[in-house]
Amino acid sequence: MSLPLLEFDAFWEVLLAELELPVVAVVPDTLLRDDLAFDSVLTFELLLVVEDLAGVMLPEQLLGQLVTVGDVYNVYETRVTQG
Amino acid sequence: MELSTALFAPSRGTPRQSVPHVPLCGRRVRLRALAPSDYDFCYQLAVDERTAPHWRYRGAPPRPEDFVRELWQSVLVQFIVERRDGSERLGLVTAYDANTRDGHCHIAAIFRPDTRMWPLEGVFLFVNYLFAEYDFRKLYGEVIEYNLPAFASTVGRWLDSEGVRREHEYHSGRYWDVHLLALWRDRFELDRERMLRRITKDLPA
Repeated sequence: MSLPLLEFDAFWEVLLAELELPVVAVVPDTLLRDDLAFDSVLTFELLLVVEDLAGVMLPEQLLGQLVTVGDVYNVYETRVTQG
Repeated sequence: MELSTALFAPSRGTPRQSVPHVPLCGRRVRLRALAPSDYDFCYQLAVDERTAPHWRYRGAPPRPEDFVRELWQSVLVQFIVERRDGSERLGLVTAYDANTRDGHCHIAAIFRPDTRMWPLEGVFLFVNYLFAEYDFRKLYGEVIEYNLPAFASTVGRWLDSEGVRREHEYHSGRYWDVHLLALWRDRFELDRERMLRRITKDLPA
């Protein structure tokens, strides 16, 4: 069964809620590390949630390529639409 | 029926008590008991210039002939963290200096420098194992100042800062603080189910 594709804003709302982080306004260019203070632990938790939302495991080589919020959404969107 | 069988066999009609399962296997990694065949791998972690300064020997590992004894010094339990299919070792998680009277223990983790963040899955499984199998109130981790940014989001959220040894260790031409962080059982329990469900959930690749 394919999972529903969330729009960008809804996707981040769900992510922040799952991570129990305060709601902050983000745009696709928002930087995970510099703007949102994501360290390796928080990024690890983020990816687990993205995997749950997309319903698939992400390739490990993707991890180093996730710099912005938009990068994360693109990975999610691609996985869901390819579902 | 032999006496030993009679003593230990469950009585007919007595429901077997189900023993809760403590998972050692996650979505990508699993924990495995440290075996003698892992000693070379551990020694490489101890001498690799990228990992050595971060581990317990701080770049000054014991002589090879003393290494195995030192590896088990004050250790309560330790596991190799490896890929779930067992194809590759990623690192080592260790519980040491256990104080069962006062209910606390220290933990440490070291991973190959070329691994990414998935070994954190192994750390979570290890912490869950320790709280499930031992009656610890809290677990301590000592983090050198230059490693702290990697854990910054956990301080105040999961981990409490319980002290700082100012300029405690000398490395790379200067002194660095050492932070004592604590994970309390109560705090861990708040997120345990949610994180465990996520980490142990099978997903297609």
